[in-house]
Amino acid sequence: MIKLLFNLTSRFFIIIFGPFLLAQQLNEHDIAYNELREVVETASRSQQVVWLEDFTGID
Amino acid sequence: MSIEWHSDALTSSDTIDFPIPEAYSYRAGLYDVSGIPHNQFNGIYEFVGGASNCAWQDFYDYRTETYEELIQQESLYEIDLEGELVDSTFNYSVVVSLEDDTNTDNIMLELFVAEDSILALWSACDSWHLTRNVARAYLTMGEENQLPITINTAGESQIFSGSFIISDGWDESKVKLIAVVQNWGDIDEDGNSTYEIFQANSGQIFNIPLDRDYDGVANLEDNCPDEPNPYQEDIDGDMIGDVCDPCNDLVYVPGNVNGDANEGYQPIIDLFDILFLADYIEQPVITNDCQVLDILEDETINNWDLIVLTDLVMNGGN
Repeated sequence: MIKLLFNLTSRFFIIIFGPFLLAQQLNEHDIAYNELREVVETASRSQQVVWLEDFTGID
Repeated sequence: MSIEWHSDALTSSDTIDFPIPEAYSYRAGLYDVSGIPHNQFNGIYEFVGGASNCAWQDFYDYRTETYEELIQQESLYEIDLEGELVDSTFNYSVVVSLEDDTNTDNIMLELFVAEDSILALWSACDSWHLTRNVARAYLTMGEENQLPITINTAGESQIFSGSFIISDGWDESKVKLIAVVQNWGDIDEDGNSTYEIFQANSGQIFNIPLDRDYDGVANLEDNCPDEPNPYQEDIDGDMIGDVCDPCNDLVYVPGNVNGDANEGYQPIIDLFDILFLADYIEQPVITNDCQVLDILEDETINNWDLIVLTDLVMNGGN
């Protein structure tokens, strides 16, 4: 539904500002954000339980 | 966390025994167990051989080293146990959740029942001890009983439900349900199957909760299983109860970047949202997890989102 709002006004903005904005797409913030995301994702993983199967006999 | 598979062949005929030879053979076959005692850590590291002259303490050194290596591993899997004992039947649900995207082909949930702390005699050393987690039943033994994990996306959960009967000879206060996630698919460089364990959990059946927040709604049906909410209020209808829902989805809709709203949770989308999003693009710091910044829903937050938001506001916002 939101994409439907991408009408003539948006196109006007894109034509005027598009080249300028695209030039700024990859910046230090993006890189820092991606690094942070990776750290957070790794930190959120569960610790794995150590599992032992013992094959033996008891009396 | 452990289970002891007891060799029927090594049981004295006149003492307590635990004969589940089919389960023993099936499980031992996975790891090519020939001599005992045989320890298999996480399905992939094995130690064979017993203590000399009853000096069991000698085992610690080299097993501890393996343990300390393995305990540092992370897992993408979480296992939660839920259940209820009704008469002599334990009805359980095991919930497996993924914390990241992964391929789960040939990954199985294995379920065991064990009895803990059984007094037993180590006859060769004339020593009595409490044997830990002796296997009583292998619920998922055989291809027909296998429980393949079919989820593969971060945040997804899969629920496995079933039941088992507590036999008369078991001390139910010591009975545990054990669940492990195991790989049945990989082949090592020598062409042999590997059966790595990716996660494990166990619980004594009296401690496995059916309704852990005691609000009268069973965990599996409870929209906030850890916080009491007997009336299950969920104003935004996102299946997460209000008492534990960090995000009111009526307010945090695409465009309402700063999360302001009128009475009745009517979101306000205006110039301040544009300024907020522009600030974020300049300095990407998220102030709360509810914010919908990706207006275009294309998994990137950039100036295109700002353009669309501007357009949205110019067209009347709400």
